[in-house]
Amino acid sequence: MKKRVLAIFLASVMALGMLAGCGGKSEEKTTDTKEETTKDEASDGTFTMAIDYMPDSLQPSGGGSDSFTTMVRPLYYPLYYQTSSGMEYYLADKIEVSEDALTYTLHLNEKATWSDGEPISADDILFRNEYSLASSGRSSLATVNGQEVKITKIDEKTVEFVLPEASANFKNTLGSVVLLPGHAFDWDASKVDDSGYFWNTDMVTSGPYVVGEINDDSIIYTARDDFFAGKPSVQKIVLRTLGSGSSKQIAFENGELSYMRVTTAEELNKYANDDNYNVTSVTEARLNYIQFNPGGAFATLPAEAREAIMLALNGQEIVDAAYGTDELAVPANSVLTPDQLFYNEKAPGYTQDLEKAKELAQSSGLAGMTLKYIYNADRANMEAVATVVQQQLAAIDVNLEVQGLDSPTFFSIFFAPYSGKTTDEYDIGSNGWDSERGACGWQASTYMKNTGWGWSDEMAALVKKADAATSQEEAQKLWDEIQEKYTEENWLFPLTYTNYVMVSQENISGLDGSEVVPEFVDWMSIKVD
Amino acid sequence: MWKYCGKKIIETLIVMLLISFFSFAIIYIAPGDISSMYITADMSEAEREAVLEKLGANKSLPEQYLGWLEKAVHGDFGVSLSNKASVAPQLMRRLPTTILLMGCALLLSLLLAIPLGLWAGYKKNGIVDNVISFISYIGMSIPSFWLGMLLIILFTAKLRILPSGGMHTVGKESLLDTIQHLIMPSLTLSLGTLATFIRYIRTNTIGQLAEEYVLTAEAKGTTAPNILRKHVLKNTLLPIITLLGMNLASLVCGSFIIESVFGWPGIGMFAMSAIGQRDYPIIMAYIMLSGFILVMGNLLADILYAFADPRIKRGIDRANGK
Amino acid sequence: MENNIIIKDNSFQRMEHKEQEVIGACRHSVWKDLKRELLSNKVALVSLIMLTIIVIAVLLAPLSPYDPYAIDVSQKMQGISTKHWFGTDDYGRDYFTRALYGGRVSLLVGFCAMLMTVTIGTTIGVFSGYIGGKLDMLLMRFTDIFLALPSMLLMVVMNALLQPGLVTLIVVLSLFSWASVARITRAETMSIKERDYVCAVKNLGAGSLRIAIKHIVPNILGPVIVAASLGVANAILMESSLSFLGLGVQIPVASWGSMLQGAQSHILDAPRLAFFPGLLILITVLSFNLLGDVLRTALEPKIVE
Repeated sequence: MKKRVLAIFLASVMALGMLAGCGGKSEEKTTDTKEETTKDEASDGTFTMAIDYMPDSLQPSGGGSDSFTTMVRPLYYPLYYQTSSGMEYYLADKIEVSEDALTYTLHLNEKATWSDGEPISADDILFRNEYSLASSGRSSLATVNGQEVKITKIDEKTVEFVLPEASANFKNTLGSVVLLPGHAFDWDASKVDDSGYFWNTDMVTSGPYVVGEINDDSIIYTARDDFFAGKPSVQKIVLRTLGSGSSKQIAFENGELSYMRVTTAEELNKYANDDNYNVTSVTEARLNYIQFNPGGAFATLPAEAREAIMLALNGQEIVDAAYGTDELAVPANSVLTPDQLFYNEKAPGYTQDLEKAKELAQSSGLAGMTLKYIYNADRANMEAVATVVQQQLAAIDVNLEVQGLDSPTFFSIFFAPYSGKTTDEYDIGSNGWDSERGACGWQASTYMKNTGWGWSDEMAALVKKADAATSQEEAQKLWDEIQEKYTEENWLFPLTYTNYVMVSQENISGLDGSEVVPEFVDWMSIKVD
Repeated sequence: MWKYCGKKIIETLIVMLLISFFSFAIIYIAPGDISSMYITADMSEAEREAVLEKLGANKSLPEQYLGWLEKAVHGDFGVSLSNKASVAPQLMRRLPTTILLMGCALLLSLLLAIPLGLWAGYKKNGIVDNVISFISYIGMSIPSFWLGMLLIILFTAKLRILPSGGMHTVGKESLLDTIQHLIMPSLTLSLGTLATFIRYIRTNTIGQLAEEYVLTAEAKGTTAPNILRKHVLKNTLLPIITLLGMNLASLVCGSFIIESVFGWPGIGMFAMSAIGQRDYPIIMAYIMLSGFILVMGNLLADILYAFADPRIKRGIDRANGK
Repeated sequence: MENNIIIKDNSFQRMEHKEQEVIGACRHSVWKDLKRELLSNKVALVSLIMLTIIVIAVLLAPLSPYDPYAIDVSQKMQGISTKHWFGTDDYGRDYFTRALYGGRVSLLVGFCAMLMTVTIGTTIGVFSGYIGGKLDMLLMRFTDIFLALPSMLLMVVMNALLQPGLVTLIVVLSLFSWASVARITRAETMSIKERDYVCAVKNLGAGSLRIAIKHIVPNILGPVIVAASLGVANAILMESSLSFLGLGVQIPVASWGSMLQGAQSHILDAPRLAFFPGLLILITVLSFNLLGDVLRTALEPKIVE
């Protein structure tokens, strides 16, 4: 008996081994033959996308994840977006800023209506503000730098915001506000949360789609006939859950998904060289950066220690190893992104100088130390970046203890110094500022005003001045100065400007109608042939 | 006997209480202050207070625990932090989906294990027995998520005969469609249980075949398949009740990972995304619910078992050293 | 024909067999039993050889010409070759070397978790069984509760909420696995403490602790060794699940489980990345399971059937 078991055991192990050999060898030449059979999905104007999880509510103000934002984008339109190519208007059709940069007058599109025919009005904007206050105790529209904003309804379609002090960021904040249908709640903001209203095919929407079906593992949106900007080409959007890991890719190659995001050079090459797929790339307007925590090990180390690390890093190598191609990301040189008006492409950034880095590491006492490095494990390529940074710092004899954290934990730890708390839970962290576009500093100005993050008082004052500048020339001059001087302080290393690259089935086009990510603000531009 | 049941019920209650304590305590030993996720630097003092009040974080720990427990007993697990909707209905909505998967896996493992186990026991130490034993060892030893990955590559990516994940094909909902979606996840999930069942039934069959009544049956000229079916099977199935109860744990825990691998829209996948988002009320409710399923399974098995066979009840007492 | 076989396999032969085992258990020490069984049983021998090969390979990992952590962009995603036996990964690191170093972590976690599990379980089991009475009842209720917990689930949650890492992994794994060991050792202790020689030693005035350590523990080594073998298998399997969910060791260190996690995104283009670590887990866990069961048959005469 024992002999037989033994024989089977050995035979199986050998068989598995053979399989492995074959599997390994065949990998270079697979995938050429099987694409023919895929496109069985008839083009009936259906657009299928994968979602990470099944939501329980499509309340546009709920959930902060990119994945959720993507889910509700077809249903709820923003007011407008500032992009590098100019203004994109959605529910609003005009935003005017006064000479002194204190008064913002927003005008809603006259034809814009909720999906039940009610006009989208100034009251909805006031309602949205009330809701934020009622739900979380704060509203981004109600305060600027801790002081109150005066909000006045001028007429049915116009609202005026008077700021206590000039802030260029306010324009971005206002534009991305998503309105809630006030009339559905009898204008009582306390009724919104936990109402179950947003998990119903009757829910009223402001975007080009309404909810058609809610199933166990999918949601179906159908196009509105009465949408003010016309009828979209995509008739039906199917959102469905898939398994983890490669399920998305398998489903996509089987023709079950209209598009998916690619984050590695291997995937990109594979699809770019295949006529059955379209590759669409939009800029993420994102700056990924490395930030030092003034509370941890750097509290006692001299400034040279930080400089040593800056000089040890090699941005191009990080891109090559972690992203694999310039199409996915390019090395960053500034605290602003190329999508921002005030971005200066000549900003110096940091250049690797390993010899000097080694010297400084020795002289500052950094060499031989172990530092704690945290990154957001939910973000694409951040683990890869950490892996490369770890190796680059090993060259100056600095050991990194790397820890990947889920978004909520990461943010609570990473932003602790920003909230005025001293923490030694990490020494170095990598994060990204997204939606960095338009004529303002956006997150760069929010964070660099904060001396809790190590910035000097002069830098904080400079950034404050830039945010409050009333003319563009003045703002440009100040931002140029900031983009040059930040390298002297050695708190932030700009890593990469990333692209959001999507691969879609052959019959899908127009994914880049708007460059705003998370994807697809402008559903009207997407076409299914 | 009633005393035994009472004792088991009290034990069950204590276990539930402990599980509730675990699920509550876990959040407090987690690093980082939960409230810090909701408080930012530019909030005023009043705003901070309002946030803390909403989180209930301004009360003492026992107060918070008791308050939470009291509500939980009434089926109120609070409101999800990420989507602001009540937790209990969200879980309940997904429970049938998970039960369907677990039920199918259980059924599959029983349907396969009974004939295989009997066969292996009957052909004790023969080639068939060795093959079946070896397969069940593999079933015990293979990482289920890995098997899931391999199945997806084989059946979806290469052969293209099964869907990669989810529960329905949009627009083509039918029983057949759902069954197609069920095949891979329930097969993967059942493997661990299958292995245990086969080994158990095999041992039992060998034991039963040695009993005198089998000899009598043989003497009467009853054929082997009939002996297996009429006598051995009957006596082997009874203890399976407990096995079912005991293996519920591997099903509940297994479904957690399998659902994520196959995108099965049940409570496991829901909980997995809640863990990623640190949605504490959902995590707590999920632990409570799984614990409840598990503990109730064990309780039912214990009681049924004791009722079905008083001999075993005495055995239990003996094992407990009484 | 078949009838004959069944009868032949029956009663008296089995009885005799049983008797032999009991005598054997009294005469030989556990270790001698172990050695005899391992050498005579082919399944055990093969399992043992497999494990020895894996352990030695893993220990000799530093002899590999490649650095398991150094990134080499020019060597990204190379296929299987004589230079790279398992190919390279998406950072251009030799995958065979990574697998060896990964095995160190997986086995380390497996062994440490097993050691802790067995230590806690045996201590509680022996203590509970030897002292008996109220304490025994209390400890056993406690053990029962731990047996009834949805352990895998709590492991995932605890690992996710605590700082992930080697120590967390080991502690969490053993925290939820000691209960079954405690149950087994307690039952064994109960039966041994009634034996004549223990009573004799007790009457000679030996202290409880001394009796427990010198006379009881050596005699329950059999089931403990079995539990240890199955425990390693279980711990490695659990570790792989946790690491697969991204709750294991942190980069650049890898375990077989976390290698599988990393391989997920390349499953279509480079299935080998997922294949090898999974196969190694399977072989290791399978060997430990087989070994555990062979030992059980050899060392626990009661479960001979």
